[in-house]
Amino acid sequence: MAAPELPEHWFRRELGRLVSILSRRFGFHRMELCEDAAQTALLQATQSWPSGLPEDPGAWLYRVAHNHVLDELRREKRDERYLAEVHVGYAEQEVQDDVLRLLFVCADPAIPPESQLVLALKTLCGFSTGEIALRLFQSEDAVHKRLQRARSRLRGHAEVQALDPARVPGVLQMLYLLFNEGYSSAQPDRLIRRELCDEALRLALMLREDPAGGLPETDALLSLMCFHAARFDARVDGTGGLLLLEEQDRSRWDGELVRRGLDHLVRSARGEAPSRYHAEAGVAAEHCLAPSYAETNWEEIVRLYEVLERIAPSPLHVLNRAIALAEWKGPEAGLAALEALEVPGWLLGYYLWDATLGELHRRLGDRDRALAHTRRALAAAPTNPEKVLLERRLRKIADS
Amino acid sequence: MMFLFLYRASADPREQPSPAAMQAGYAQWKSWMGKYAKEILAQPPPRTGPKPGGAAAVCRGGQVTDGPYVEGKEIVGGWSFIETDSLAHAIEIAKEVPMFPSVEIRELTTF
Repeated sequence: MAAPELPEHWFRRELGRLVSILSRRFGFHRMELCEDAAQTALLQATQSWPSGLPEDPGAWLYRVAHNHVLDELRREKRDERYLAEVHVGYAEQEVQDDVLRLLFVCADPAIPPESQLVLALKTLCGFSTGEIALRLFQSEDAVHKRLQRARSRLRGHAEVQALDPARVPGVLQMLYLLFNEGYSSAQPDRLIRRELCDEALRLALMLREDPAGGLPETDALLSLMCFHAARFDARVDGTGGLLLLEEQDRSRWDGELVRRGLDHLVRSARGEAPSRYHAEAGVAAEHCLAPSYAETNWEEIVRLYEVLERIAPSPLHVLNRAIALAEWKGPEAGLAALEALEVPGWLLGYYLWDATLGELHRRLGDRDRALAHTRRALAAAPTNPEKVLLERRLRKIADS
Repeated sequence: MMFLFLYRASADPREQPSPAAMQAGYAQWKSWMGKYAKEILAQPPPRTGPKPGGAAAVCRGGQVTDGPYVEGKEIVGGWSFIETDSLAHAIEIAKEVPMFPSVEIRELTTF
């Protein structure tokens, strides 16, 4: 009698699928109603299924949610035409298309990127407002407001942009943000973060299968994601402490993901111009393919950061380039690159800026400056593991 | 004794469980239903109605009171029919109902 266990994340996936397929059927301007319906159907399932799983759970959910939407519309006494057509089809292919379509709807250029991310997390990935707030370091109220503004925009302008190729860059950007949230945010729960990365990877793979979405940039982004994901678990030691790239046990990197990263990188090498994803995937590839930290091709990494600076200028790329330069040509070269930079105010208060300066001065034997910068970095470090790492480094300098 | 369990949840959309919570809830329902397979009736009993003057209680967050049964902005999320030898046993079962913050217990009678 007892129903079997469901696959991990099954409810979350189903929610995204249901909202997508229902929104397409009833109109994206009714997305909120479709979300409610999907939520209701899943909630029913939690109680009904334990006494016996339906033959086709996906179809069951769809039927319940679909009826819920119809009930609501009937109550509103409008849109009679929808009442006549009752679909119960649940073809996998169609659903996949719908999830992708909704991703494009979320990528509305009139909605700020952070709000697009919130909308995608809520609607496609099935995170609650509270969970999103926790992940993005925003208050629940702020997340709620973002959602409402984004939805009210969609209510007015939702029907036209199904798989508009012009929105692919926005979709890629959203997936990139989603992945980064998982990969490098200070969210302490590693399982939650891993989930975000997997979700971004899954959606990017889906985008790649689409004629409009299968651009060279999509492969480049996938490559970047695979290379980073390969190192996900090796970045922490047994007690959750952060490990620097040079300290990581390279045998713990996921070889299968590295191979997939390479495969996408090769496929991305077509088209007119490289994107920032190409350059970043290139850097990640150099790290993943180097047999050891010492044998890393720093010259190539310096070149890739120069490319990145041209495509998407940011002083952070200069900072990264300086680190690579220091490994390639020595700490003086690294410092010179940083000194040549016109440093914006926000960067001066950024802990990695001081951490880098501290480390370069340490290598040059300038103990006082090394101490001063590392202390400032420690004071500004946002998370506990990073503080621990910097304290470790501070002791090393003090003992030298 | 036969009881109706009425499950209520907050109507606030911001307090809706996330899919992850619902998936966990599915597992909890499964084990709850397994544990009380004897007491939970698989089918709604025919010809039943509320027993006049019968036992009634509400179990909210582990606290059992005799009312109020509904707090502002609660919606009914489901129900079960339970057969036990006492109200106390029914309350024990109600306390372990997953996901819903509030369970209203009503004694039923057959007619």
